[in-house]
Amino acid sequence: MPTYDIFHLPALDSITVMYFFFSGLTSGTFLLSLWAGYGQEKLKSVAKPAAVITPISLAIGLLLLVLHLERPFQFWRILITFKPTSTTSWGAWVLNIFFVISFLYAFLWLKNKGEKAKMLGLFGLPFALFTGLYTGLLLMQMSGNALWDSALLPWIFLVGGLLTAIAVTVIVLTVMGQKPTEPFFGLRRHIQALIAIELLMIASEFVGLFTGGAAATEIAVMLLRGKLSFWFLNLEVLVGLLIPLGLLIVAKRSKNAGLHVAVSALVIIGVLTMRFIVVLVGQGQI
Amino acid sequence: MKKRERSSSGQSTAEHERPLRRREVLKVGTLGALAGCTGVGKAMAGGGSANKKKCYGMVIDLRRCIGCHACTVACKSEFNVPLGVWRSWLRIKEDGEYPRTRRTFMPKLCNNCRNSPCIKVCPTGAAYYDQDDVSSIDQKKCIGCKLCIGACPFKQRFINPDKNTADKCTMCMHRVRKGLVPSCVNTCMGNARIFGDFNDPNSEVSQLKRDNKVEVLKPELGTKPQVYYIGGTDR
Repeated sequence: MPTYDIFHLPALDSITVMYFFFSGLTSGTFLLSLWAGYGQEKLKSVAKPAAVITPISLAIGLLLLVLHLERPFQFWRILITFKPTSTTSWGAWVLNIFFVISFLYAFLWLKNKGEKAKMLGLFGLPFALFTGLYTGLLLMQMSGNALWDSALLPWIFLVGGLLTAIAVTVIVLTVMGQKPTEPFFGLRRHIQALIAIELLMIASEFVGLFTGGAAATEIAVMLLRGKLSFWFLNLEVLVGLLIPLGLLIVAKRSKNAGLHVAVSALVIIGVLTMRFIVVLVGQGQI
Repeated sequence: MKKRERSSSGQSTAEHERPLRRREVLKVGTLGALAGCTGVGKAMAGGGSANKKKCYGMVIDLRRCIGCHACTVACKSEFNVPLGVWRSWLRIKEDGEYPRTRRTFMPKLCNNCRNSPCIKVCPTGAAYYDQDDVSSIDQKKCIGCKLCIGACPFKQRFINPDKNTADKCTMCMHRVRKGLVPSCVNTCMGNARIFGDFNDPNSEVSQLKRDNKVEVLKPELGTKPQVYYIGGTDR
């Protein structure tokens, strides 16, 4: 039956999605750098480039965050207020503190003071985790959206951020002329593990959607069989997750730089599609 | 029928002249689960309500709404609302198959929730409860982050293209404070919209809420809306 109603423009647009992407990337590169710094010997050389990417990515993210405001020149108002009930207020503060930390962290790595950088990195760890999770928390706080009423959402975003972080780091390293040798093999294993985790979380999310009432089931069906199935199944799951996973398994010890860049590009496309789908579908835009 | 006296004090002098039969049939008493303003019961027990905090809201009798859009137009003109956005409007639904068809109208406006998601998410404090506990927007503080728009489960908020800030129905508090009723209530020819203070047990809205089966939109979200609908066939 026809219904005539007023629909105002939705709250979140593609600039917001890009900002989500960059905040995930920021969190991911910082965590990757920390992981590489403290972790295995093989990954050591990744710590520095990942650390340098972090503040650059966060700067782009913060710029997008300001640009998405209707009154960008009033953005300072968010910095003279702290509202504990607003995830955005938390986010604004954490992001600003994290920006300073990540900047110092990258600076220390550039000065080759790895040990000091690692100490600072530990202090920055909770900030990095929050940056990765908070975009999902922000969506969770929007009431009445079936897709966003999920406690898995921040974690899907965090793992997505880690995936893009590795992908971007691989691309940057390749562009800088690094041969696809040892650190790449370590990163490949991480990509495989993260893709597996992401797939499992998406599967759990669907169980949640199918058991979460009529509106949630409708979204699940739309993603699997409806008009969004191309974007979700083909682009997000197949191109973004399954094909990279398959490529990495098949070409196990390939030293082809092209393969690594291709896998990275596919992963980035997949995560970006995921964020677009979550944001635009969640607010009923599609 | 004598025209009902209109005042925001909610004293309905001609209440007995309203056709109450259908309502009496529907009478199920107050719906405790829906009661957002707990002051109602206390005020009733205590008797007086002069210094109590206000809890403004509306009761909308959907059986009386004929879909004339007068409220939409009155609201537009009261606030000079720009083209393309609305503070209050009608949702129209068509049901049935020819020749057995019908249209139902549902006036929509800010629900003045007592537990507002929009106020919670606002990072600058631009969304706030004013001195009369009405959900309001401080246009100076609003930076246009649009989170309140996403958080409102009733999709009542929008970006005002003239001011570039969030905007919505404010229950016409500039009129109410001068003793008038909101513009949409004033113009409603069917008396479908009734405005008043739910914390005053003698107000017309309190009486209507007590004596009728009232519903709020999306009660499951726990936002405690203060716009109650009578005679809703669906949501």
